[in-house]
Amino acid sequence: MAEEPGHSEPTDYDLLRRAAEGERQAFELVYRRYQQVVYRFARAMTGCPDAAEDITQEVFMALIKELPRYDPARAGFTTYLYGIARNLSRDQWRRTRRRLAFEALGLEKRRTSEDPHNLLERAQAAAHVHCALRGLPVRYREVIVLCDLHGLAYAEAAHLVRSSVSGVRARLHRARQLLRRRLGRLLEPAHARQEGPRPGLSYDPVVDEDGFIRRRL
Amino acid sequence: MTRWLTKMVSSEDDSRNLGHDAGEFGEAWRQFAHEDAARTGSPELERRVIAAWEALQLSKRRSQQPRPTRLIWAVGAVAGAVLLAVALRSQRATSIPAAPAPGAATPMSQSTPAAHAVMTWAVDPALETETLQLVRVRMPRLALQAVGVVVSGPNTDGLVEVDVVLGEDGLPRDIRRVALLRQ
Repeated sequence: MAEEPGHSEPTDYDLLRRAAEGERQAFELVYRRYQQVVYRFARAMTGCPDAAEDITQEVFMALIKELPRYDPARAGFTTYLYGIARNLSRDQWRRTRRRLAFEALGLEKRRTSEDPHNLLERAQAAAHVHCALRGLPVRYREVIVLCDLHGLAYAEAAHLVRSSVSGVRARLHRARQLLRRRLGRLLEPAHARQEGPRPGLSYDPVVDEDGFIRRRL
Repeated sequence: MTRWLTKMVSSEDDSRNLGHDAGEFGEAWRQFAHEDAARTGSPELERRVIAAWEALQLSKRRSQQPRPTRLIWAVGAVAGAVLLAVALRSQRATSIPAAPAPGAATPMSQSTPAAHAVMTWAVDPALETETLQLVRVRMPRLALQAVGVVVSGPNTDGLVEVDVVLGEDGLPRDIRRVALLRQ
């Protein structure tokens, strides 16, 4: 959060005021300062790069329209942006939940001397995490993204998801449990999966998008 | 007891940040977080956002300007009001009984105007900007000739009836009508 940047850097408040008055350069600075946070959040929530770009654009348009209503005393600017992005991401998810997003394994062209085999394995592991995260219900996914991926404090996340700190803790605990379980299944070697159910595990819980747990015997 | 301890350990594990996990899972999560941290919007996205912002500013500026139709209506309303005011004033001025103009000829006896008008002048458009009064006076024909208006006719000693346009300062602006009076 760049609320108090260096001496030469204009503050967020200054930039926002100038942008509201129609200064393009100020708006560009605001965009460059915060676009990555918004984009990353939207992408983690939707799992789709195109949707994330659309949401990022909508967030900044909403920002300009709603700027006069922004009250710095109520929430920090980053929190304010997260709030808009969260609402838009949830809308987007509701619209496209039935469509599966297939994302590349992240094997973009990289100039590296690393062993291609290791590179592929790591990219595949990240893709598994992405897949497991996408499979979580939205209410669990958002706390994982906010706290574990973006490093927000529990209080900030609680403010964003309109819950208490203890509520966020409980939700996060459950979200991590679910993610570990899902990821454990994905990371399990194929030969181990063919051996049948593991000893001591009588059922494999499946959580649908509404947060209901279904048993799969 | 063993089950309870196992549950406690498991619970602690679940409440730990995913990035602190050891083993394959932790490694996968850290790789995912590493890739996520490098993600950023494309330059195309920046162009789109800036273009959308400019369009928004343009529409804001347009909405702040008065619309041409509104402007036309406003100008029309003002012009109508001015015309109405001028018409009402001129109507009131013509209804005022004729009074002798300052410096005009001595009042003459009432007489019947001539049946035919002799001459008229068009009003200078520049005079419409002030409040005018139309005053009907009678004067000797020679007096009218002295101010530069020559009325042709056989009887040079007779009287003429003149409609004079007076300005706000009391000075004559124009002569609207000149009629010969029968002796």
